[in-house]
Amino acid sequence: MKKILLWALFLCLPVSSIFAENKELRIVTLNGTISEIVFALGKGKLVVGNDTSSLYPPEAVALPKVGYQRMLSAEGILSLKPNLILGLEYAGPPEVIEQLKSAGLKVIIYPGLPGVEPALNNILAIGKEIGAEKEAQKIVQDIRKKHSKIAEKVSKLKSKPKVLFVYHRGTSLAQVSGIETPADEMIRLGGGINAVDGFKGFKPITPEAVIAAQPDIILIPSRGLESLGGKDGVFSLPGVKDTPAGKKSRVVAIDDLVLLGFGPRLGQGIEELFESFHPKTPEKK
Amino acid sequence: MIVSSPETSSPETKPKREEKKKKIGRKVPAILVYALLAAGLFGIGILSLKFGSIQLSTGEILKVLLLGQDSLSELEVPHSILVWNLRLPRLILSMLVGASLASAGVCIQGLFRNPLVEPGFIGVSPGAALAASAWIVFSEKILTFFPAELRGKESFLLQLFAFGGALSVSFFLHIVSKREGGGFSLVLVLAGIAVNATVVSLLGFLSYLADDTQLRNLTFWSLGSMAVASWHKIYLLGAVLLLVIFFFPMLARGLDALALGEAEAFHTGFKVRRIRNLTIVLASLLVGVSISICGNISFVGLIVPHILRMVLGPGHKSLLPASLFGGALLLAIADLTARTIAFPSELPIGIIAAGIGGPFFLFLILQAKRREGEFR
Repeated sequence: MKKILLWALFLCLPVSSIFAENKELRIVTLNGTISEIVFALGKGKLVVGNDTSSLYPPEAVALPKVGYQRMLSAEGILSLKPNLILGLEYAGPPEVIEQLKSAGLKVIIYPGLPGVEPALNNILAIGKEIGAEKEAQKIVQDIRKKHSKIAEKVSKLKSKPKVLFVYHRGTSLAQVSGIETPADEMIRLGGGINAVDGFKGFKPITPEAVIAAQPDIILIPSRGLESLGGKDGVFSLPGVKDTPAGKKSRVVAIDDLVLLGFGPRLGQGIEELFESFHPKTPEKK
Repeated sequence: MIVSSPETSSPETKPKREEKKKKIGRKVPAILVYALLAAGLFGIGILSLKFGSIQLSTGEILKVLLLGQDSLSELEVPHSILVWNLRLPRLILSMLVGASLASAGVCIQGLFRNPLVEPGFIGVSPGAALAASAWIVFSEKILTFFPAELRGKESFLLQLFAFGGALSVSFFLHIVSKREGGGFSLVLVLAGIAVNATVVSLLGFLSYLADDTQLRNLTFWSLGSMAVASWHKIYLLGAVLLLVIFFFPMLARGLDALALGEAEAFHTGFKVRRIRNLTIVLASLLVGVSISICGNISFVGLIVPHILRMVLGPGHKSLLPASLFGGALLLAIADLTARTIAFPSELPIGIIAAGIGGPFFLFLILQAKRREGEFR
């Protein structure tokens, strides 16, 4: 009898928690990469709002915006009545994150380090959180496969091109990317060498520095290329024309989030980079 | 020159001015102004607590405010969190910041005998922002031997530095204006513009040195936000404001005397230097601490004293406390607008303040010019 009672009690507990979990998730994502991951895991329908950096997939763009990930407002997020908030470490200001937590919401902040492993960890962790572990595994395996395939090819390379990453918005702000940046990591993964390695983070472009770096390839996010008005715009940047890249007219443009997002399209990004860094030239055949 | 002082106005306009003064001086009894401001504050307070993600009824707000969380029903607990953790801190912080900036505005206008100056225009607030930014960028790079809690944005030293920045700029401007005969001069406004330009350049240099996280913190100063509100910050700024209010009677008498001119004030028995230094220190304290908490918000220190001076007349005895309430009211309105106009995202409050303030200032200038050809 006691046993039955205990069993009954035991059964009751999980039932109540299942009920709690069955309550449909209402997710607010605070970062473009996180949004992309949730949609890639097939849970896009659970997202009730996101931030202005969520630009992919198109369905994510149409959702209510809670501001830019670094300038969030607690009330705005609360108004969407979410029960799960996912963000990267850039989410802020920190006070708002604290306010959300103190309002009793589940807020999970993932690290935003560039790199394959951190990216895969985030995908797995989010998959676990929103009940899409299998899908997460699948995406992770796919990225791993693509990554190791390219990594093998990269290890066999005899020479790697020097790549200069130019971050550009509008006509005024042009910066090149030093070490410890997402672009730096992606250049390495795609089988290139960052042409500027003397500093961390981003620095404004100067003609002399560009010429001194002697890049073979200019790498630029698609949106940046658009804002420059295409390839010609890139070559009109000070100094670029006088580099090997300028002389051979080698510009590689890849979608911003594919290139720098370290999200579910990371594998695709690495492949695209490798292919554009090392095109199969007809002479080789 | 559109800026001229009462002392330099030509003798033949004097009787006319006296007449005007009677007309524009103290139109409205001070007590009525206070009552209106108090009613406005109360009203905007209710509205601020009401609107947002969930609209609360006045009854619900009162219940949440008056009863402890234990005596609320389960449904009302989220309301209580909403009011106590989000809306009330924001409301109080915006009021405190508005009160601080408007009071500082009155003090600085009185000190320089120039109703055209404002902490933001003449470089006092940007000076505070610069010092705070320098602290953010360098505290982690240079002061590595400091305990971690004393470094960065959360340390109280940030407030201290901001105060120092505001203070240095105020003293510098004071020296400049004194050399030009004290107070009311275009040189002061021009020096302020020069200080502003220098600060902008130095801020640019700092943002060049800053890493990504620090850069984010720096951009914050330029826009201003009340989203950072917390009770801890309220206590800090509240304490500073209380300290200044304690000196209000002294400041009021001193600033009224200074309005006559430094020499006259001295001869009527005022310790001019002490009053001047006190005003500079207290105004810089208000500006420095509020700027370091919520970023650069300009125009409050200009608009509020301007309007109230039109209504109450130039006497600081009623102008100082009225500006305190007026500033609180203006910024509470601005914050309510900032967080509801682009819902569910939020506009930086600095944009709202400058958006209301700029056109209004232009209107004031044109009106005052039409009415009397100069500023009072």
